[in-house]
Formats: sequence, C-alpha cells, structure tokens
Amino acid sequence: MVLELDRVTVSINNTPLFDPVTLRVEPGQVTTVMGPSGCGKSTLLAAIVGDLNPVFSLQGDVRLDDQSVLTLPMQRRRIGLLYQDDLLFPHMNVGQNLGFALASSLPRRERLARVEEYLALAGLEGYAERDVASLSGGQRARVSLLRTLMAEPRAVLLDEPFSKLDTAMRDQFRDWVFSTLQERAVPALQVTHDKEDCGDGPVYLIQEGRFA
Amino acid sequence: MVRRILRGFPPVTAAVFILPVVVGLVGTWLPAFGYLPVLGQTSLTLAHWQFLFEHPSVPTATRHTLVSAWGSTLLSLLLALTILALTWRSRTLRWLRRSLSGLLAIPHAAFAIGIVALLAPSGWIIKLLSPDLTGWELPPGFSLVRDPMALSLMAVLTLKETPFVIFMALAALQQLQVEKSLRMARSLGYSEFMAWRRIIIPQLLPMLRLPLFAVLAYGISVVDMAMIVGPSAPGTLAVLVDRWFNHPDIFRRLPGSAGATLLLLITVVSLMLWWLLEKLWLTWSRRAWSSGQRHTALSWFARPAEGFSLLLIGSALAAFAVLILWSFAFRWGFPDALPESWSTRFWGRGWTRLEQPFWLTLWTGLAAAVIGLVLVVGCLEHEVTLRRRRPGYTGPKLFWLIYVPLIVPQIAFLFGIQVVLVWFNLDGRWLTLLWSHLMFVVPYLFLSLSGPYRSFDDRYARQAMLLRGNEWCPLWRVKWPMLLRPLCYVTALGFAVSLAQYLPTQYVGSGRFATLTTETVSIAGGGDRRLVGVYALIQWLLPMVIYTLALLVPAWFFRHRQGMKLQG
Repeated sequence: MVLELDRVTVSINNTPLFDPVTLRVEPGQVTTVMGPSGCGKSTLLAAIVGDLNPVFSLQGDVRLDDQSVLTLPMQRRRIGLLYQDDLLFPHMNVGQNLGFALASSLPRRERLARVEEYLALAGLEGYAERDVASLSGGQRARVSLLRTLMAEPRAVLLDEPFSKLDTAMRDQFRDWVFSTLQERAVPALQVTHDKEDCGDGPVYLIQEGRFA
Repeated sequence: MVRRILRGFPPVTAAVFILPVVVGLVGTWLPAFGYLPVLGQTSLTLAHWQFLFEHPSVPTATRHTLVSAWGSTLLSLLLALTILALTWRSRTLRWLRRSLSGLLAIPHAAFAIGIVALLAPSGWIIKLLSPDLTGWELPPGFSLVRDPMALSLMAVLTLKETPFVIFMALAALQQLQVEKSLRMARSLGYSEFMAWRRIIIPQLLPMLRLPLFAVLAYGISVVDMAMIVGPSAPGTLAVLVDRWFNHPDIFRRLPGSAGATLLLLITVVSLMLWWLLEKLWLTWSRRAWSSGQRHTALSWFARPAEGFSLLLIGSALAAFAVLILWSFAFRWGFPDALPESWSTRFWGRGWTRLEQPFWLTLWTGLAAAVIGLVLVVGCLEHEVTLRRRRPGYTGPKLFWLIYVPLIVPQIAFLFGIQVVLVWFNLDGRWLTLLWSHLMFVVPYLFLSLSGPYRSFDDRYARQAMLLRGNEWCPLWRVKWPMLLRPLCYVTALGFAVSLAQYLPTQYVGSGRFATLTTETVSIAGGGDRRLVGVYALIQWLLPMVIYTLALLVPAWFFRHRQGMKLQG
C-alpha cells in the first residue's frame, strides 16, 4: 500500500495554512513532517484521516494505492491515527481494547489468539486481563499502537505519539514502532516538532507556511 | 444513516415538550374569556375576570404566593452561594456534593409531610423539648407550619430548592476558572468571601438565570407542597385555582382559567423583575469592582455556611426519621419523645392501598425516564455531529426553549391540555399520562446530562470509529459505556421527576390514575398520621432505591476499572 498526497493544502477563510504538499510514502516507510507548534501539522493529519474541523477546507488529493480516499467518510478510509494521548478505552481491559479493533465476525477463540499474538509482539504476554489504568506510560503507548495495527489500516498517521514519553522509554518505543510498521509494510506519516523523533525515512519541513 | 436518525431527535423532542405547552396555554386562555364549548360557553366575556378580582381570597392568596415564591428563591440563591463560597475547598462541600443526588431525589410532597411531622404543634421537635425545656404538657396553641404568612411554605421550599441551585451552580462553575481566579484574588490581598463576591458570583449569576427562573416559577405554581405545608383559608393562588378547577360546580373552571392566566402573568412579571434585579445588581457590583475593598463586614454572614449545609442534610434526615417513627408507631401521645408502642399494621394497611399506585408509579416513571433519556441523548449526539460538520456552530440557539415547561406554571397550561384531550377523547389514557410526565422529565434530563455529555472527549469516539469502521459501534461500545455513570444518574433523576408529578397526573389523567404522589397528597391533609407516614415513606423510598441502583450499577460494572473510578 502506498500513501500519496497530491498538492494537499488546508485553508481557513481561503487562506492556505501552508504550501501545497506533495509526497509519497512507500510501504513500511515512515515519512516525517516537522514544524513548530501551530503550523498546521496536526490539521494536515486530520484532513488526511477525514476529521477536519469544518472551519478548514481541504484542497488537493489523498490517495491510497492510486485510489482517492477523499470521497469516503472517515470510518471507511481505513487509516489509523495515533495521537499524543493513547486514548485507550478506560472501561475495557487490555485484551478488550485490542479486541475492539478486530472484525466482529471473528470467532471468540480466534480473537483471543490474535490478541495474545499481538501482545507477544510488544513483549506484553499475559497482559490481556490487565486494567489499562495499571499500565505504565510506555506500555499504554505500545497497546495503543497495537490496537491501531490490529484494525489492519491501509496507512498509519502518527501525531507526535512519542512526545509524552520520558527520554529513556521514548527511544526504545520509537524504534519498536518504526520496525513494527516496517515489518507489516504499512506506510506511515508522522508529524512532530522534535527532530529526535525522525526515523530513517524522508523528512519534510513546514515553516512559516513553506513546505520543503 | 446515524446522522439521518439523529436529525429527527430535536423536532421530536420539541414536539414532546413545547407544543403541548402552547396548546395548553391557548386551551386555558379561551375559557378565561368565557369560551368553553364543552360547557356550552361560546360567548366571550370578562365576567370571570371580574369574579376573580372580586373574590375575597384572591388578594391574600396572591400575597402568599409572592411571599413564598420570592422568599424561597432569594433564600435558596443566598444559601447556595454562601455554602459554595465558604466551603469551596473544605470537606463539607465534598460531603454535600455526595449527598446532593439523594437530596434532589426526595419527592416534594414526602419532604413537606416529614417537615410538618417535625414542626407541627404536636411535632417531634416540640415533643423532644417538652415538657422539660418548654413546660408544655399539651401541644402549644401556635403552629410553626401552615402559618397565615406562608413563611413555613417559604422555608420548606427553600430547603428543597437550595440543593437544586447548588447542583446547577456546581455544573456552571465547571465552566469558570474558579481556582485560578481565587488564587489571583488572594494574591492581591482579597479575602475569600470578597473574591467570590467580586469575581465568581458576577460570572455565575447570569449562568444561573434559567435554573433560578425555574425555581421561581415552581414556587409560584406549586400545589402539592402548598397544600401540605402552606396556609389554608386561603391557600396560595395556585391552590385556590386548583380547587376551582376541581370544584363540584363545573362552571368554576371558567374563573379557574382566569386565575391560572393571572398566575401566568404573575410568573412572567416576576421573571422579568428577577432579570431586572440581576442586571441592577451586576451594574452596582461592577462599580464596586475597582473600589479596592478587600474585606467586608458582611463576611460574618458567611461563617455559619457549614451550619447551612448541615441544615439542608439534617432537615432531610430528621424528616425521614420522623416518618419512620410515625409509620411504625401504634400509640404516640404528647409529649412522649418516642412512640409508646409499636406496630407494623399500618405498613400492611398502607401497602394494600398503595400496591396499584406503586406499580403504576414505577412503570410510568421508568418509561418516562428511559424515553426521555433516548430523546435527550439523541439531541445531544445530534449537536455533537453538527459541531463537527458546521463551521462556526456554537450550539443550539433555541436552548432556552427546553425550559418552557419548567418556567410556565403547570396549572396555567395543564387545564388547557385537559380540555384539548377531552375534546379529542384522549384523556385518562396511560400514554397521555406518560407523555405529560415526559414534558417535565425531558428538560430536567437535558439540564443534567448536557454538561457531562458536552464535555466528553470525543476523540475516543473518533478513535473507535477509525478502528471499527462504522458509526454505531463507537456509541454503543465506547461513548455510552464511558458515560454510563451520568446516564444512570440522569435516568434516576428522570424517574424522580416523573414520580413527583402531581398536577399532570391529576389533570391529564383526568383523575383516573392514582400514583404514589397523588395518594400521598390526598391523605396528607386529614389522614391518620401513621398511615400518612407509611405513604410518604414509600413515596420517598422508591426514588431512593432507583438512585441507589443508578450508583451501584456503574460501580459494579467498573469495579475492576481504575480509570472509570477516577472519572466518576
């Protein structure tokens, strides 16, 4: 799966927030868009996922494997989004949070097996029954990414997902996220203001409305 | 699909609680001017207004209405603000906050009966003090309740309405930066009391306008409480009008309609006056903002704030206790502090008479609460959708309309509704009874649920939508379970509101339906005290059980979920 942005820009009152963005994210690649707070990075992700605040308007095209997704409602675009906050559902345990992302038609036994399989990927074997409130920040972040991946998204958007983690955990988790996305060949677009978070993939910069 | 369904909720909800009020008002105004074809009255006349103004009881009844309604609204506001300002950071407020749902659940009629049992000449308080402290071997000749000035009605209304004002104020204060403002004021040398007066209250008061309108309008139009604790011969204007509407001489319904319309006029003028006074106070206090005065001699008034909180909770507990004593008493003479002998026979007798009303109350209350909940959640979810889709959408502009059934006196439109229902042969049916309860349940549900629903972090629902790829699942599996606590709470509140309805049950039910409230009110005037105690307790206990369930269900569901406990 390839994610393409073709001359995408977001405007408010006919004033574009940044120059048109054209980029291509290959399967397993993590592309980073950097920029200071308020430059429109998160708005760009909201536009791609289909959750743009109605005061903004989107120009250009967003394609997945050459198919435009802009005509689809957000729930049918099959794009995963990872925020700064993990947004784990507090009324569900870890296994239920992960199982939520699976298709409801899947038999129970298979669901449980898939949950365990994914938990093992993150070194969280046996955590399925745990209350999410009892997890550490790093564990929560990992469960959140696992949940996004379990929905088998065609692309993943990362909205500063490492910014709330402490330095030691941050490097470890970032490496794990990038390698997991690479293994699964999911294209990922990350926005951040911290260059430490950039991976090996291409890095773009939005500054004072310029895209470079 | 979801959006299309949600779009239907606001018009349906408006139809449920605004249209009937308009229809009912017209149905009351026409008889006030002599037009009531059912009684063969088809010519317009002012004779009924003349009858009304010449009736010797009307001036006194109007005075009783104004004293009790205005007095209780002002005192409720004063008490609520004092309690909030002076106990803001104390354990007392946390304690009071936890007790609020219980206090709000108490039916007005049962509470009034309990207070009468406490304060009557042969009430528990005088019994406890006699004869050692008072020297009275017989009940005294004066009475603290049903006084001719309507002061006891004002006091009981104050005790009952203050928790509601505190509840609404707490919800409004969530939108203000109270802590930051207080810290800033303290750093500038202002006392806590002055900080509230100068900074918080001027912001809070306009936000409390509509709830206070509801309190004032309720005070003007209340019938059940006024019949139990208010003055008699004459009572309040609402009681007088209610008597005319139920008079054996059916033509009394015509001056009754004029009286109901007068009550509406009094309400409209009162609400306008309240609004004017609020503006004047704000203008006056604005001048004082920059006076530099950091302390006030008035703060002595605030010192007993904790005592006021205790009074609210204590009066409810004492009323409850005396009802229990009466319900199990066999002989209880004056001045014995406790019954001489005990019996459960009145429970048996009371239950036999109340069994049918009990089930009717239960099913009607549950149906009204659940239907009301569906309507309100649908409207609020529709609002969320609009916020996400319409640029610059700031919320429903006609929000104040939901208060219409609460700020228009019930008696001013219920008779009209009864006339229309009789016309279409729809009166006295359970479905119309349910619908009449919904008119009052829906606004209260909207008021209580809109805060938690609007402040829900909708990113959870959007994340769920991205994960599951459909629109219903995030609501069923994520948003509503996460909101289970407030949803259960408002369902219990809706039940309590339905249970407390007296006039709608009487008028729309055409007297064919007996609920716990109608039975309790009817026996309260002259029934055996022990039986009255049983009736009032059953009326009190039923919403308490529902409230307890509403607290226990989410607590049980989320007993292993620390994150949900923190949210609650």
